Amino acid sequence: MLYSIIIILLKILSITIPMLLAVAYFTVAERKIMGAVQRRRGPNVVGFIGLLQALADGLKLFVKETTFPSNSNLTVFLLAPILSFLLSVIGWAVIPFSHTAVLADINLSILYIFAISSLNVYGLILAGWASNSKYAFLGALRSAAQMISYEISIGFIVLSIAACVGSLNLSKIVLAQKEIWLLVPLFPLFIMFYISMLAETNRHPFDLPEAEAELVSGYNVEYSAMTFALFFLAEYSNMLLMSALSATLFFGGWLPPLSIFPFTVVPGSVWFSLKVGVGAVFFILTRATLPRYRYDQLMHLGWKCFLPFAIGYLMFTVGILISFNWLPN
Amino acid sequence: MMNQELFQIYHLKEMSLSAELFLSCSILQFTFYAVSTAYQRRAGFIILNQQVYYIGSLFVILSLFLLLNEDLLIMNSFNSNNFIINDYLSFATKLLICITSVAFLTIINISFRDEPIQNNFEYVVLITISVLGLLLLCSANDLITAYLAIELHSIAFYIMSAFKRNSSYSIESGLKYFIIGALSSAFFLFGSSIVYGCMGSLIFDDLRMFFSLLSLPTQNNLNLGSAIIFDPSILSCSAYLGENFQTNLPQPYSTTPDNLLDWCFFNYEVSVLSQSFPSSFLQASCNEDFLVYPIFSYFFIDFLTSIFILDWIINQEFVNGLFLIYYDVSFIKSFSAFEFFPSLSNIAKTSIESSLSIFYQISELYQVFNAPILTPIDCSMVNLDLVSIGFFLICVSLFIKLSIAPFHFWSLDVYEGSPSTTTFFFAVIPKISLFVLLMRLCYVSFYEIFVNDFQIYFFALAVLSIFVGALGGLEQRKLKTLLAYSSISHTGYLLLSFSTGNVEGILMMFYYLAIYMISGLSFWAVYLFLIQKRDIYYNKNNKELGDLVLLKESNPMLAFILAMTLFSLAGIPPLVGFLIKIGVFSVAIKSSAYLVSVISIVLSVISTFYYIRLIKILYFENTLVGKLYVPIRTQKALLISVLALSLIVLCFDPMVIYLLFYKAIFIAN
Amino acid sequence: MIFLTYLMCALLLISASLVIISKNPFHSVLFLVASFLSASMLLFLFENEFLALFFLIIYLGAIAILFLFVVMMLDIKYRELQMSRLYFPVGVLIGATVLIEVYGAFLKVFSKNTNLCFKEHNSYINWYDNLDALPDVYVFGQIFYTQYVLQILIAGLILYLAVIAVAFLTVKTSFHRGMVKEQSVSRQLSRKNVL
Repeated sequence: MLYSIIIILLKILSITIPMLLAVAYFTVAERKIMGAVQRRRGPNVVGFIGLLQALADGLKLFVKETTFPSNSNLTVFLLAPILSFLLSVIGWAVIPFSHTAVLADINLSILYIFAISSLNVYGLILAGWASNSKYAFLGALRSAAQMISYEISIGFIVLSIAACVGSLNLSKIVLAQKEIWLLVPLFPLFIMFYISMLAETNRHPFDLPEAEAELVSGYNVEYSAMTFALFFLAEYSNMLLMSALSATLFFGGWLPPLSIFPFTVVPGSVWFSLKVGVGAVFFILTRATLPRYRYDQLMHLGWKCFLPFAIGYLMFTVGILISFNWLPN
Repeated sequence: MMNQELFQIYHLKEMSLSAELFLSCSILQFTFYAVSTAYQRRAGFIILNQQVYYIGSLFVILSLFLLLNEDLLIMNSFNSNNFIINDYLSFATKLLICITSVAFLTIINISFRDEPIQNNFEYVVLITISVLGLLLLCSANDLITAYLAIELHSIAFYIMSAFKRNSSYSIESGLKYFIIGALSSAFFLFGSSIVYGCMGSLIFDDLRMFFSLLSLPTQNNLNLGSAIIFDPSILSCSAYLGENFQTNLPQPYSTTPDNLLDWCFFNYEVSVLSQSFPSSFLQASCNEDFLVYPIFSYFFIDFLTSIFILDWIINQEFVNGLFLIYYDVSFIKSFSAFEFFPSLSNIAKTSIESSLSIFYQISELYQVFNAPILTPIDCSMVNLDLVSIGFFLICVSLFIKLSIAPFHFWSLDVYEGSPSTTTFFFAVIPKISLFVLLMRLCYVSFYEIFVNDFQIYFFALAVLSIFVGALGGLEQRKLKTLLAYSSISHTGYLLLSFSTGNVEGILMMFYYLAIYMISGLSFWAVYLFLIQKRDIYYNKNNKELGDLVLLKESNPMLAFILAMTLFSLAGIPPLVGFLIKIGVFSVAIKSSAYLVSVISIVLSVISTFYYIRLIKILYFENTLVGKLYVPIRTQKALLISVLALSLIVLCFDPMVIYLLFYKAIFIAN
Repeated sequence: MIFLTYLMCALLLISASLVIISKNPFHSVLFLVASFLSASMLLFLFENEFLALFFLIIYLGAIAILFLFVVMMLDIKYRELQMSRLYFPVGVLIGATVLIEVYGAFLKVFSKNTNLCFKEHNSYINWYDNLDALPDVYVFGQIFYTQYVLQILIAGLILYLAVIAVAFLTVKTSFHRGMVKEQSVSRQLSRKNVL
């Protein structure tokens, strides 16, 4: 009993600690890649080529004073970043890193991730309300509305994938992509999923709620130091989680592109990490290249473009599966 | 063989929902059509004002035709896995609802014609969806289906009562209705979950079966200390003579075959026993207790198959073999059987013999089976308290929806604030299906609980409703709230005749409902046709008492019709309202509810005051200035005159509606 | 495991009662969220994971957020526990009576009876179920779309009606000329003060 608890704790740590390191270096990578796109160097002072920038940022946030607005509800104010961070770390429990490396191989793992992303909205709303500030409140409302709008299309996309695979288990979804990655038959869905991921994580070009020009950084304007660090970590960890999810759902998870000799030597987790890395880099590249969406355009896209298309594609997929008798078991 | 597989895609028993299926598909089509024309800028926002009402009435008329041509009615079939029952009661009530809805749509079509152009096609969508919900509710055999049907029509009602978007009065009433309706649905769900937790099934017939077993007496004069959980699937054992009968373990759920022919044959199988005559039988047959034995008419309600079986029995050797038939005993003695099948006249002559022997067969069942499954009755597990609570919660929920006092407070505000056409719909049409559900609950499944514990409370609530309706309407100046109070008191009378617990009571209740719907239609038609003659369009439609002054000068026929309707509502003799009130009171007296009857008669006299006051305002005011109304057109006049004349005609020939409903009550044997 | 069940039930009861008691409406909604959460955990403990996650997605992720939005945007003021003299005692009396009745009925119906004849009450062990149990998602699929099809269709009709109702109550196209408050985006974005 105790032994199994220790093993599970070790497993959790082996996911969480590298994840936090990855998040930290993700921030450095973002600044450097954006710099490269804009033909400048990113941060290159602190470490060798700026590699210790993450530690410097962390140290700064740690040492700063944590301010509390005087009229705010302290419980809720502190609950919001804790909730955000907690949820973004919990979501990593069901991601399969290789064919043996999953913390929790449950049969409903996609539904679990969907539930976690539904609960992410609470972090925003509570933060915005508890800050007792107009900008934060408005930013939180906008963020929350945007997040729940795009969650629905993600749900329908996941339904199409589940219809193709026959299970909601992420490991089974990866295994079902042995012949061909789900990217190929469901390519439109992948595009929609990618864009919805950007909207779900409040990431550029959908970051109107936290844009510096309009809303002075949105729902986390009143947060400083450690609480801000928690939000920050939560956002980037969410991004990595979404990249990992898209890698599992569309790019074959830990499977190599072709099951031939040179590719199968490389272990599955390396392939998985490569795919997550590519996804993360694409997040950064979209931030560097695209202009921002206006809020009503964003909502129009979510409800009037993506949702009908996702439902229609679901019907199409299920129709094809039934007609050709390709339904899984 | 191939044909069978092909046709199994659509089982014949599912055809019994053809009216609802048609109505739902047509509503969907209609919404698409309406949205594509009314909201399209390119087409110029086509006005769909009148045609939507015609389309709506067309849909309801067509589903009425589908209903009328429903030949599966005689089978009393259960469909959709026992969730929908298709017997005469559902047919009669659905018929009534459809006819009244068609009349409703025609009336409001005609009344909207004088208003400025509105493009609200959603009103008809909401009406047709609520009619669909009411139709489903009438034939629901299960608490889940009933709940879903209630929610379907309730949500349509909430929106209909909030229909005038720029009137805060209307939106407020919609919100109030929504909250109270959600509360009553919560009670319904809580009650059903308790019932499910105790019983394990929500289907009305399963509940009835279980309760009928529980009503077996445990006195010592009957040699029966135990009962057997009986399941009709035992009947699938083949019949053989003279040998001992081994039963199978009962299946947890009785399955009837889907194929129609198999289903017919399924009913023919009988099982055979061989036993000796129990000594206590004669003793038992002398007691009244014997009649309490459950007769599994769940299985043989219908007319044809039971007659066939009886025919078959007669042609068999009746002396030697001991055939065991499950039969509705009261049906032998009913007169209609004798008219149709002359071979039954044998039974008429030797009725006591045959009925005794049939009773004998039935008692064999309880004594003889070698089934190892026994349920001791006098153990503490058979305790009906929790189920009573669940049942009562469901009844409370239905009372809230029916606006029976003391749960009536929402209806006053909601009726007043809603647009007049919506109040028309609320006041007239949904009560019948809610009463059908109440009847299925109280008379079919929970009859023992109803009769033993709760009948007194139903009487008390009925009297309270009549009291509130009578006294509340006395000082009302607004017509709509007056109608609300009058509908509360009429619901009180309905509940009064409902809670008598016997068959005549239910018959009277349905009769009262039919007449109430006709007089409600007539009253509201007059209400809606009274449009003030003004230079500009006058939007406010809520009429007060003073608005009816000197109606006899501006529109004498309308005043006369209104007077007749009011006399009918009040219960004055040459109109049919008098007959129904007498019927209700006589039924109540027959079931020995003397105090209740006396109080309600007195209160009924009190409530005639506000009806007669309206007539006084119409005819006997001494003012010189009254309101001028637009003269009504021929169509309106035709419609109102038909409705009002029917009120008189029905008084002289009330059998029309009686014939509609008398078969409906047989399920409550 | 039983301890967890009791814990979740206790949390559910406490948060449900705090919904009514708390003065700030935002706190009420937060306690509503807590009660949904504990109900979902309770479903997890009843081995019904699909329904539990569904609760999280639908109730917590959509409905409670809707409540939060409404409460935040309506700007409901802090309200004292305004009791008229009669509401609170009568309410407590009625509530206590109902609670005692239901509790008494529960005590009588569910009794700890080890009498063997109850075991044989219409039961037999279905070994197939014990050997080859399905996860609850499959069970839902198997039962919902075969036995309870009618119910699903009616539920679909209810949702359809809800969509029509919401669209009717809120959508104001240019047909409703007097009632629309629109914003002209080109005016907002243009340089000069074009009003």
